Amino acid sequence: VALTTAPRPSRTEVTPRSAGGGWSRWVSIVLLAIAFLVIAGVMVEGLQYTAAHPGQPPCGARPVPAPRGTNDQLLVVGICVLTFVLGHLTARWQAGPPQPGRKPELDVDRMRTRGRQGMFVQLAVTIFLAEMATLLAIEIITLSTNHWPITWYVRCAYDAAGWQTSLGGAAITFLSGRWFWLRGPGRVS
Amino acid sequence: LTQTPTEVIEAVTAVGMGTLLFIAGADLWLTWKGKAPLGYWISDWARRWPAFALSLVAVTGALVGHFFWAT
Repeated sequence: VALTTAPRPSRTEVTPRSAGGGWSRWVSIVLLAIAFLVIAGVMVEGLQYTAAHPGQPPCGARPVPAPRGTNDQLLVVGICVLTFVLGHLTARWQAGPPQPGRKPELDVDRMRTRGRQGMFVQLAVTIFLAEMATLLAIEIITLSTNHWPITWYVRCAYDAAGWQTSLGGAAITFLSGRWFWLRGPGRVS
Repeated sequence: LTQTPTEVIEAVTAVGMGTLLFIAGADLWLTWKGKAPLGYWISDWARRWPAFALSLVAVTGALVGHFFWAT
């Protein structure tokens, strides 16, 4: 029996065998890049408008823009639900099928690498939680002090720039589906 | 209700969207390098701390619905 010494893939690496082919990785890269660019574009456009028109929201003097219609809104919400599912699917395809029964190998170098990446991801999750708490606090403070809440500015943005705001919402729900819809149990990539 | 000061709007836009950009960039980088994506780690974390994970998902879902679904 010939024994090979070829290095086995790291537990944290998504290999073509375990990832179900390289195409799924590239689909994830392309969609993530699109979501990144959409969010960056929405952010820059919003900042530019606010800086150029201080105190003058694009929806005018109306505090809460009236919805354009139930069908229109349901269409946008439906698109956001679809991108949420798409985000989950890209992460699922990328991670590959479940491989129950395979036990993690004991390797100090791999454990160190995993530890560094784990710390990085913990940092990202902590930052995300801090962002959520900050947004909630701002929403509460603005409402309790009789100021426009964030919600009204989002509605105002949708009223003034409907498809750009919808794209931004779809990008955010894509990322939410990718991050928060749990993969199947027993997976080791 | 009166309008929120411009500086607050700019700060919320920059910090809120900037944080999302940072984390999305991290996910893109991990995917580009062939490492396990961010969802992989969050799933591990969620299975270890299910109560925290449930709270996180509930708050995130409520915020997304609150901001994006006008009724």
